[in-house]
Amino acid sequence: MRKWIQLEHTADLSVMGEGDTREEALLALMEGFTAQIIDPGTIKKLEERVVEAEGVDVEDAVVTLLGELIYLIYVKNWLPASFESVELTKEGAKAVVRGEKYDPSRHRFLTEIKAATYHDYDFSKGADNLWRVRAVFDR
Amino acid sequence: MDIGELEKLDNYRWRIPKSGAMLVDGVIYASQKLIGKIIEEKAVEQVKNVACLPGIVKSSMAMPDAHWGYGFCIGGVAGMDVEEGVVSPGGVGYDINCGVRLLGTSLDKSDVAGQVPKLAAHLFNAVPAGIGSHGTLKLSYSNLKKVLLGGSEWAVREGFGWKEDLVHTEEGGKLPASDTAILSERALERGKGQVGTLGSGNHFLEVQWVERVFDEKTAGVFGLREGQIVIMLHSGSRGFGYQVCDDFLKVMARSVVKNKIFLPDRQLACSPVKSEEGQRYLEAMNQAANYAWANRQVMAHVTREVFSDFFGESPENLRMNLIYDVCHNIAKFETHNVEGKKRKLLVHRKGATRAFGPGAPGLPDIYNKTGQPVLIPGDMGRASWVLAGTKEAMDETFGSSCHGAGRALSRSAAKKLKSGAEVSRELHERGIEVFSTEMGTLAEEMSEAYKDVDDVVEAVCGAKIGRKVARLRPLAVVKG
Repeated sequence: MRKWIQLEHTADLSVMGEGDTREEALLALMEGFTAQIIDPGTIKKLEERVVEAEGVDVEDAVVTLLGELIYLIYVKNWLPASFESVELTKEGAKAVVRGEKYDPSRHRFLTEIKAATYHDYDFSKGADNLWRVRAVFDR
Repeated sequence: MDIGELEKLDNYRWRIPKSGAMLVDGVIYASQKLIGKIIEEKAVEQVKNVACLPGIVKSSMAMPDAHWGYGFCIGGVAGMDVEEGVVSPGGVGYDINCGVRLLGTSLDKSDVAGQVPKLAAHLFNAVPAGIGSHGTLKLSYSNLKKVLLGGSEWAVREGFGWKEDLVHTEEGGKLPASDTAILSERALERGKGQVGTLGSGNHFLEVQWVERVFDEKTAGVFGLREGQIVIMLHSGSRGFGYQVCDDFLKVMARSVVKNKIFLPDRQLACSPVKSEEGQRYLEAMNQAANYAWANRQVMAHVTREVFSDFFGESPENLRMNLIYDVCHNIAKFETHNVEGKKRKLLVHRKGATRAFGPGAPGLPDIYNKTGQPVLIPGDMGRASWVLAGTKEAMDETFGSSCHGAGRALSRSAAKKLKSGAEVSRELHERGIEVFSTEMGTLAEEMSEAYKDVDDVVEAVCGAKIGRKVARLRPLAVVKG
């Protein structure tokens, strides 16, 4: 089971994803932060895309992957509706997403997120055996 | 409030004694009223972390508007030795050269009476604002590169402003840059369509009036008088700057490993100033700074055109002079006195304003005796300030001061308090007209979401790292 919550943060945006596995937690985080940008209910799952990132370690790879999504949304104007799967390796991350091109007649951005940061990042398994990944985004 | 390890030096200074991996002390400039919030905001931890960076000189400082940032706190200032020190993108911020400029006018408050809503609507229509906003200026990659190397000079050369604007812009609106080949394709892509755009969030264009002058002589030199209409503009380097920061955080992450630099926080990723990575970042950062200056210069030009059309007078007749343009997020080579000796430093100001005092090099001749104008935006319902730089700031903070009020509430907490429509209506009832592309932004930016800028200015002036010149009140606000 995966879910996300928005955490309180004075200046910016903090989101935590939770799941039974690392991958589920990361998928929840990606769903949570894109839901801050645009209502996923308004996006059609018309096209599949693979988003990839490399890093010096898992933390770097995850933060870079989130940055890739920001680029995809704001610069390439392509909106993710659902996150199908994610793979995590020692120095890389790869997500399969479905969505569509931004259409100003149907889509409305809710906020602008500038970047994913390393600040207050955490990816760990709790005593309840659930994985949680937390990231802070610059707005 | 747990003061904990803070040692109160006087009513406006708090020392964090050097401990652990800290190479220097930390110093926080704050009143008793503000220090509790600063502690809550975890800025103390970040000041300590910055004190661990190699080559840091004198102390790791936080200004009175300090709050949680990335790596450095917002309001963080650090001077690094150019031989032994490092440069950190986290000490500059994502929005490189986010800054503020203030334009004067010959108009009085009475001249705009009854016309503010219409004037605000004209400004809102003319200056592109909002999420991912794109300008009417369509630049080729070749022209974008001219912007990156030329900054405000490029804008003035293209007809977006007056030569005198350059004199009244920090660094003349241009930092040295020569090599656009070091930039990522992505940075260029993000920068191409956004010159002349406000952006979103806390960026704004405000028509304000000078409510009170505290120092007639200095205000006269700055071109300010009570009752006068002025225009304040707050924006930065848009997607281009964010991308440069993002790109170089990755470069720095590898440099940290290569140079075996101890980092208490990964967001402080850095590289020796003299290293190839450090030099490349500074080249790219300078280009982002130039982009931001050109961006503000183009918007200032558009604002002059709107006023000119609206009042049927030329901008020259309306005396829409640029009073000053200051950077908030930048690292610059400067020479400062440290323990009686002149030292060349790389001064990082992250959410902090340069506040050079009288006689400091680099100021326009006209501000040589007064110190530079220090522009402190507050919130859209209360006030903003113009201060003057001081000798004390030169002696203590490498000529730095605060950059704003600093947030007090999270954006989500603010949204729970009031809707954007309520904020707009309340401001309207108080004679302030607000235009925004997003009602959500208005809620996030409500006055209650910020500390009272008067408290912050009180602490700055109490510590003598700034001097009150004028208090400004908003009349019309354009938000992203």
